[in-house]
Amino acid sequence: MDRYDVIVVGGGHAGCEAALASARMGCETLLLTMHLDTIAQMSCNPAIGGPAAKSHLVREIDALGGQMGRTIDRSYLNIRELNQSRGPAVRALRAQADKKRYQREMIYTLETEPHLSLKQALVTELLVEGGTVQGVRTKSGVSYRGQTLILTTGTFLRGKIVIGDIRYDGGRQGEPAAAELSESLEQLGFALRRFQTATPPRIDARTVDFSQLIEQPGSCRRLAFSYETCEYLSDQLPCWYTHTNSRTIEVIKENLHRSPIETGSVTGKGPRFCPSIDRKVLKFPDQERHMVFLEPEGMYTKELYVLGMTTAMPEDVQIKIIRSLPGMENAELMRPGYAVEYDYIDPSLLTPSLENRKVKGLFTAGQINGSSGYEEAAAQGLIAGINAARLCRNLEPLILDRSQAYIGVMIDDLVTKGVTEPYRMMTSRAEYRLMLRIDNADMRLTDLGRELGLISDTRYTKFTEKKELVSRTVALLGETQITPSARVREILTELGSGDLAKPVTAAEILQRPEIKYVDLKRLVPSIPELSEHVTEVVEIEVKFAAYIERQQRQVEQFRGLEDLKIPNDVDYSLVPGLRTEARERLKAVRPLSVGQAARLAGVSPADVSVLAVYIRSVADGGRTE
Amino acid sequence: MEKYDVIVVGAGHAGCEAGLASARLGCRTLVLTLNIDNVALMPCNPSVGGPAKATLVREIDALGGQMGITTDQTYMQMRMLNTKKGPAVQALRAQVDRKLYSLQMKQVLETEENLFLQQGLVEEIDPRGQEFVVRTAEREEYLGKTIVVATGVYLASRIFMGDVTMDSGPGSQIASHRLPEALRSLGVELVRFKTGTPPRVNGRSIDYGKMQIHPGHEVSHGFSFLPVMAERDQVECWLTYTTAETHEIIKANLHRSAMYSGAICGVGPRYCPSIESKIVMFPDRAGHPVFVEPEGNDTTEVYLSGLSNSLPPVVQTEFLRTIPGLEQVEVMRYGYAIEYDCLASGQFGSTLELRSLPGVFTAGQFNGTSGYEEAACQGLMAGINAARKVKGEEPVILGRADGYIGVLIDDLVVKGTNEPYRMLTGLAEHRLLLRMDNADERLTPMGSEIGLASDARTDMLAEKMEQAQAEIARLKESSVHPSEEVNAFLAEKNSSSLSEPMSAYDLLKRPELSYGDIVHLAPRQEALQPRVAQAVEITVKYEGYIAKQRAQVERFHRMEEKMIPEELNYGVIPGLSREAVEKLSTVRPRSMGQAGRISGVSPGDLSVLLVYLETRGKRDGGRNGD
Repeated sequence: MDRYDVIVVGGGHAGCEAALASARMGCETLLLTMHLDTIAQMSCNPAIGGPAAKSHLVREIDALGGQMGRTIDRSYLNIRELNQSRGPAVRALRAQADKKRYQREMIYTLETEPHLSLKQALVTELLVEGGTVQGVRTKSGVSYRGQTLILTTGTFLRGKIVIGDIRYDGGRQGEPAAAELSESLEQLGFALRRFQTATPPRIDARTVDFSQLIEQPGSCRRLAFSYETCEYLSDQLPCWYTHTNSRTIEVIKENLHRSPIETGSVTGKGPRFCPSIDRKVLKFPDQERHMVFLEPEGMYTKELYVLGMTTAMPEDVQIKIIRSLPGMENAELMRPGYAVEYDYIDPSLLTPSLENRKVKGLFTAGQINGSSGYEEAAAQGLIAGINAARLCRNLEPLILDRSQAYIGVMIDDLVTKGVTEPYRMMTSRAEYRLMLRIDNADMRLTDLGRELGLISDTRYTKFTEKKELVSRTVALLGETQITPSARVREILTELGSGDLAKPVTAAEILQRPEIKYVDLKRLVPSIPELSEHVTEVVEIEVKFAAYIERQQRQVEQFRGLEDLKIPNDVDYSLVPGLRTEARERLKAVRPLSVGQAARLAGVSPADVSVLAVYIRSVADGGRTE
Repeated sequence: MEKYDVIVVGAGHAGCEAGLASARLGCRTLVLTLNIDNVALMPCNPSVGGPAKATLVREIDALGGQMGITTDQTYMQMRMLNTKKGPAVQALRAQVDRKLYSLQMKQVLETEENLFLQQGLVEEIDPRGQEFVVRTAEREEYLGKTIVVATGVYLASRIFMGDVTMDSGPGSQIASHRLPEALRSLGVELVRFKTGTPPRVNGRSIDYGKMQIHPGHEVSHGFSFLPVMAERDQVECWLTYTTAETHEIIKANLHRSAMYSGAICGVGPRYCPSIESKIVMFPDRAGHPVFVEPEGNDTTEVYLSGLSNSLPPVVQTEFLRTIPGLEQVEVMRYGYAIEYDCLASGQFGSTLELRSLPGVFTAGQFNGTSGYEEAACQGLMAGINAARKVKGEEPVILGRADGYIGVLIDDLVVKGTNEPYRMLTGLAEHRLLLRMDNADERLTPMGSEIGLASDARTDMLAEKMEQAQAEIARLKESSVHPSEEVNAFLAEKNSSSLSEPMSAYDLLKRPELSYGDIVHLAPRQEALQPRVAQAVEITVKYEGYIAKQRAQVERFHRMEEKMIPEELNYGVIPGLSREAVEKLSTVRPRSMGQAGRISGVSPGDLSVLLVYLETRGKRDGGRNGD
């Protein structure tokens, strides 16, 4: 029987990152997927990144040495900045992906990674002995031994496709589901829950009249997700958009009784922030205009993704809905939209390392943890891969906290609060979002990635140079005085900026909203020439210095409770003064720190102080003994 | 309900050609596939062509089909096989980037006017009047005037790997379980066939130093007669052999092979045997060849041709590691056998239309064949005939002397098949005429008449014929005079020396001299294009044989042209043997020629039938005159 350090089940976005991370950390890794041709498949929209902190996740994955950013940079059709006019915390990147190209790039990366074996097999059973993972068994009767196991099953666990009132087995339309693995998990005592998600129809670009749509070109700036990328695509494909109209709403209303929402053929809970068009109409019956985007699925295909038109209505209704849209009067469907329902595991059964608290060595990542989205999946996959590898080496797990990364926020949310609907990452979920920006993900996480062994020498040298340049420049701007000379005042007027009465630092000038670093360079020619990326970080660090500093102080307070670790074997029944509800929640979740305990629903501030006092006294007692 | 002229069920190699042909003939065509990401998938070897198969691809191309063009655009390596043998068996073989092929074919379908590609799992085909309602698992309905069924191995498929069976299409794909039931309820008779595929491994785990290199060849043109072949650096394939140890392991585990344990009831392809079968059938062979073929330009996955098997995965890894170069091999996909439903023989005529369901055409593995090329050519013919039916035109039927396509379909109709049918040069009686190089001469005029072959093709053909004839005339007129220089050259080629002048034409008939040698002796100003030079060489060298075969074809045609009415009641013909009545009633031959090829129909039966038809013809003629 073949033995591995880490076995990853599933070759989606979570599985790919998990397997690559553990193999790159030197662990013998096996990735098992039902179908090698569908590795890294984008089952829904052909895009990576976007608002709602998804692009932050990709940058963080990249800063830690993950793969998603590098692969999308080699396979996008267009790339754009979002929210550029808004504050730095919500700026975002979004790339339109050539789906097939993305997959081919990722497959090649996996195939050529040392220590990583790829195999096509349907996993049917988990092998567990004495509460510890031993490996898996496949449908073709093979057992693989693994010290650790990472399940990244996406929508395939007992997947059910729903279109109108039709339901049939499938993990994606046209692909089989995995039923036996669910049974195996249940036999191990896991109560599986059901979620659902849905995807819009794909239409034939030849049947669309683009003259009635508004074109949305890619950016001409040199944009990239990965800090390693230095090649940029110049010939970008555009996307298009339009709006629904009264006819669309009419068609949907006429057929609402046939929507799975109404007929009840979908039972799982769906993602609130990615509602189907039928749900949007139900919720906002008076709103006529909803945005509809048409996005190319690849360079060599006529398939278009109809963003905003997610639906699992019967196919004949889907055609009517699509044909009510401007430019799509004669549109032909190529694939119908559908919903898929699948099993997931309550993520509050996990530790923040993404290891299962019931079965040692068992990790889960992605949709099986109740999340939604490629980036969310990939980020969890990366952390699960890192921690499985570290467990094999008897090292402490990597746990990112809420002030370090969106990844930390997401995992803390999942394991502390659990989920009641598919979890999607959003900037609003982060308390310290001025710290967790898309531009400084490398500053926040590259050192960690380096320590883990996931950042190459070249990359690290480049990073330290950048980091030094940023801090040197920021310091320099704080020291450089600008006096109100005639030349300076003239330039300021020219830039439409206020007059200067007394000498100030260059930093203070840069804090003026209308002043950019290039403008400052005119005033003080001696400050260094900076690349676009460095300029961005320097500007934000200086302009928002006060806010960042304030947030820094909040983080320090937060860290106080976060650093107050709760011993694994603490007996909550011995903690005096805890309310019963709090005691039960704490016993169930077993938070790692008082900080995490404070975020549990049902744990009050009073409970937190009681707990903090108890933990401190236990810790002191331990020391004196 | 959306209405179409032609609805094609399946987007494999047969479905793609069928859909493209009917759309290109102006019919509104819908191609339905259960997974749109798998259009033109190569679920077995990543290659196109080879003996007889290459000729099929050239014929498809000459008629205006797609396979040759897409292969020329996505190949990674080209080889000309059997170059030492006669022109009838020379064959081109391409190693293809599997994913690129699929992607490009999908794009061709997507951009074809009149063609609509949609994802949908077809579960029912319901006759409604003269038309058909096609219903998918999503319960979407489409109305088609004609249907082409090209379901490949996806009907009620079952995969076998050792003692494990799975209800599944190839490699974890879904299968259609309802469509076979629906077809049976319409009176269609289905049988079980099986096929198999070898393991795929990660190329980085192979020690190529222990294998023989199998490089590509410089070829002047690819599969298509159109100049579409992409220029590229060819990749290498490799050759290794199984060892005594390999055979030991397989023998020791034969009882665990799905094929030998009795688990499989389907019949497999004789000419593509599993490694288990090869070891059982040839116990004295020291080693069986294993061709190591890359699956794509941006993958390290490699196909192990020759090792198709249905042993348990553990055994597969074990025996692979006894093969030189594979000692450390990492398997990525294990080999397996797959069983599927396909048509029992004798249910369609030469137009590929089902007798019991006029308007439903069938093609590919569903018809009991094996191979991408075999499937594609049937798809093309089914697509053409479905379109012609819609337009009220006579069907197009290729004869055995027209092309391998004609041989293949005639064999299926007349003889049927009780195992997956594979095209072989040995199956064609007129193979000196049915060459790869002259497929355009044979079929492009027909393709043009049908409306599929473009003017560019016709012009290129005319140019080729004209230039070839001019060159042959020139060779006849040019005398080569004996000189020291000429005789020295001839001696070098092991050819006897000249004592008196001889025409270049006659010299070319010498087997040891090539056209290139002749041009050296009788120079021309401008070099001929390779395809024209080849035509000249073959025409001159094989003139006698070709003429003889033409005469045979003439005789053959006389019988082929004696048509038999479709509705003929054989039971009332006096003097026919009972066996002949039975066979003729099942096969329903189109012509006396076909009737003669049916086993169990004796020459005596044929003359009885001929006499009956002639007298009946006169009677009918008289009646019509009334």
